[in-house]
Amino acid sequence: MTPSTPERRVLVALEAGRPGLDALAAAATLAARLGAHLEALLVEDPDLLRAASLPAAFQLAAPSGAPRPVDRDAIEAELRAVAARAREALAAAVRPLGLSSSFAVARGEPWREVVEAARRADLVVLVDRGPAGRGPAVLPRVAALARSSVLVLRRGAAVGARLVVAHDGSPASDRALDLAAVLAGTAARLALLVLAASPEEARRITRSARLRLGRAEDIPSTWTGGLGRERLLRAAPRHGTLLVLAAEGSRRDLGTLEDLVREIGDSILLAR
Amino acid sequence: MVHAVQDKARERKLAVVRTPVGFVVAPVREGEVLDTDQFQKLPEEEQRHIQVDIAAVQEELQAALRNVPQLDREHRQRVKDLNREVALYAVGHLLEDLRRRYADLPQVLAHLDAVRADVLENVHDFLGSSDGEDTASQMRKLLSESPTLRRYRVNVMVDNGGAGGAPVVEEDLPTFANLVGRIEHHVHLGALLTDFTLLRPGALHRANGGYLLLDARRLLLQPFAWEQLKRALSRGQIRLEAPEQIFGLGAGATLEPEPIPLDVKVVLTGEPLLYYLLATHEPEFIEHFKVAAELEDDLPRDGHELEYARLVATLARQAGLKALSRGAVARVIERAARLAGDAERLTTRVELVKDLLREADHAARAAHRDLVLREDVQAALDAQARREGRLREKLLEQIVRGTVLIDTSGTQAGQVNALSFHQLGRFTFGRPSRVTARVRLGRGEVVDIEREVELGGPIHSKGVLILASLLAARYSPDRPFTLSASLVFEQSYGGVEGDSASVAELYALLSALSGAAIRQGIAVTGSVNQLGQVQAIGGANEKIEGFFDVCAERGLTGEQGVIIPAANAKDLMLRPDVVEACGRGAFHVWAIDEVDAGLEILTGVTAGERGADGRFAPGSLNARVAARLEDLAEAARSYAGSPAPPAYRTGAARS
Repeated sequence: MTPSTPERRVLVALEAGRPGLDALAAAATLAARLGAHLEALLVEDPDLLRAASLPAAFQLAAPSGAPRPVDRDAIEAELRAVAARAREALAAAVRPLGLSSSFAVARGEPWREVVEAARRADLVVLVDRGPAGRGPAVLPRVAALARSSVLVLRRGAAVGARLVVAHDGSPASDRALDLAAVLAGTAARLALLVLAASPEEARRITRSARLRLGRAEDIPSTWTGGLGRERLLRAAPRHGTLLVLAAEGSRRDLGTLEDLVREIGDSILLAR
Repeated sequence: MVHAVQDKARERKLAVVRTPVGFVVAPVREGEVLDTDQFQKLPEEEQRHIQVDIAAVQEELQAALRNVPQLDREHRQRVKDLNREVALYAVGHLLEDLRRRYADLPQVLAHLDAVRADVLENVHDFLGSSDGEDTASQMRKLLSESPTLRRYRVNVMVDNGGAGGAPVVEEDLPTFANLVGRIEHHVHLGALLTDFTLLRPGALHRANGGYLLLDARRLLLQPFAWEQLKRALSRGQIRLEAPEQIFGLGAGATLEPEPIPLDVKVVLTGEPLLYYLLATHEPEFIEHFKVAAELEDDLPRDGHELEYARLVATLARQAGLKALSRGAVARVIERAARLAGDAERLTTRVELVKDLLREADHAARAAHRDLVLREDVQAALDAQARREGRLREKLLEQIVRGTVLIDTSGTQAGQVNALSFHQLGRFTFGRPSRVTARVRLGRGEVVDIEREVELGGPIHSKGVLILASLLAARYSPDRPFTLSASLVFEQSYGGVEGDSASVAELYALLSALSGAAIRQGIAVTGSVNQLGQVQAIGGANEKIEGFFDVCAERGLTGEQGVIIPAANAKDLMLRPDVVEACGRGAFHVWAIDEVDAGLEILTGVTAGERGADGRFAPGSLNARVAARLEDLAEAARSYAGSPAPPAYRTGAARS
């Protein structure tokens, strides 16, 4: 009897207030490369319902700003419509790839719901759409607290782009490299950003990383020129690339993940 | 701006909550939005304050949202400007490189400016996933996958970058499209579409700035090609137009590209006749083709044999053939003289020589020789003659078997062997024909039976009329010419043309008049003028060989031969077997320049010259002819009942 392999899962988290359905296509692509099940989670913030149930509550339509009375029932209807659209978008994203998928709706504080759902996932995909409203931002919390890898997609980013792996020679970096290799689908899309104190160390890390991937010289490598947060931020690629960074282990004084995610300002994959 | 409103709301303990379709402003306590129960438990005063604060924040939020479209427009414009700036940074230096390279070509510079403006205006077309590829690969992919980017492609019509000098182009199929180019189409949703990338160059484009070689006959055979070439040369431009556009046919989309300046020398090659016809009937021909160069079909042999031998060696080397021995080269040169139809000239039709060399090479290879010998060349010639000589063999067989009556021995009055020349494709040969003559009293005419039945051509008829004039003037200058003679090519069922049998016909007539028998082992060729001079004819070699073959089949007697005009002696390049037979006296070739010499050879009788008394020498053949004509005149006079005029003032004595 062949021992069964635990199924990989990719979780794509959507906020009901700003669902960001374009993340579904990117998440489906990654799930296909990982051979994973794709789970979409739509989180409804209870604050929406509470705000709408207040006496004489008004909703200002976006982007016109036209005011109109709103109540709990109206918000409930809007949430159902969002869920229906998200379900259809998920089906459209997985159909051409032949992926298995599931769709769930959760009502609660968004970051808690996502962190809870992330316990079952190997990779969480979030869309960063800027500051979220009144509560703590979902993205940094999930990035810091989830036990799975977290991909933060900036609006318009494509997962087919080049993946740049920040590598400091640590085992955690090696795991990040392994994940990036799988997600890239081809070594031609991979590059190294080496966090090292000296050129010699950078060469050693580069050589080790290339050997790990079984490639000799054809994976480009860039040295940050030194250690530390500033060096990384300065050397980190922009525009269409995806920075892959080990979320744990030796990060050579990179500061908190929350800050790092905010300051990178581009798509980033925190590998665990 | 919404964020600023959010910050202000936070100061008032309010939250701007994002809903699926907009925003709701709500009070917050201890990090959570108040629900209805919690709100209603607040003191009324506080509730009023909250309501006022919510209204104020909503108003600010409304104001912010009203600015959103404007901000969005500004944002998009700024993004567009940024994209243009980045694009200019990315492509500007590339275009500058090109501008420097083509600084002396203002049209190219204008195009590059237009490209830059268009790229900046449509920079969004270039934005997309880089997919890990380098820039060049991305551009190739973009250009191939995106139809809208086809406009940036360059359609290289002609690339003479690697040429060392002016282009020399030979177009062996000068169709309309092959000359001026064509506009191709592709089918899209049932419609024929095209664009500038589907323009294809023609020979004029490729030869622009150089030389274009065309075969005149092929050019004239192609519909509209000549007209289009004239048009291009007249205007000094190549206009790439679809034929259906010129002639108002077809409804598919097409282009009208800007004309390209044309500077080309066109060389037309062809037969001289074509040149003369065009010069006569095509007014614009001389205007465009001012320089005529007529190439000789042959060249003088004297002093050029060595050069010709080098030519033969070069032709063999170019064709990858075996080297030729001295004897082989000599035989090829002999053949070249034969092809020129003149022993003192050599043909310049090298294709014929090349064919002979190839076949001789084959013969040498079959004999496992490294060198082509004279015998190989001869074997090739014999093989050619065998392959192409079926009709000649058939005619020869008919003569030998007696189906066609040709005597090659004995004597006969009023009958002579004439010789005719035939050409079947590239193969030429000669054959004998029997010419007979009959004379009687008449009204001074020589009847050409061939002409009477419309089997004789005009030149042949002219020759016969000359005979009548010659006879009358030479033998009956001051008496009525009362002869009626008839001439016929026996067993001739096709047409007879040319005057090369006129000497033979004259001898038949003189023999008939004089009664002198003609040796049938001798054939005659040559034309004669009114003064009795024998003039050159064509195909002397073939004619001699034709009669030789008949005689050889029946056995050479040593008495046989051919009389030819002396002017043709220089043309003789006879087959080796004929030369050999002549060398040992088994066959003869006599060259004459006036008719009396031939008469004596044919009859063995002295021709006789006119003496001081105006009469031919007594007993001579000419005297017998004159006497016969005098008798006929006398007979005519007695029939008419009129007194006879004196034959000659000094009196006459018949021989």
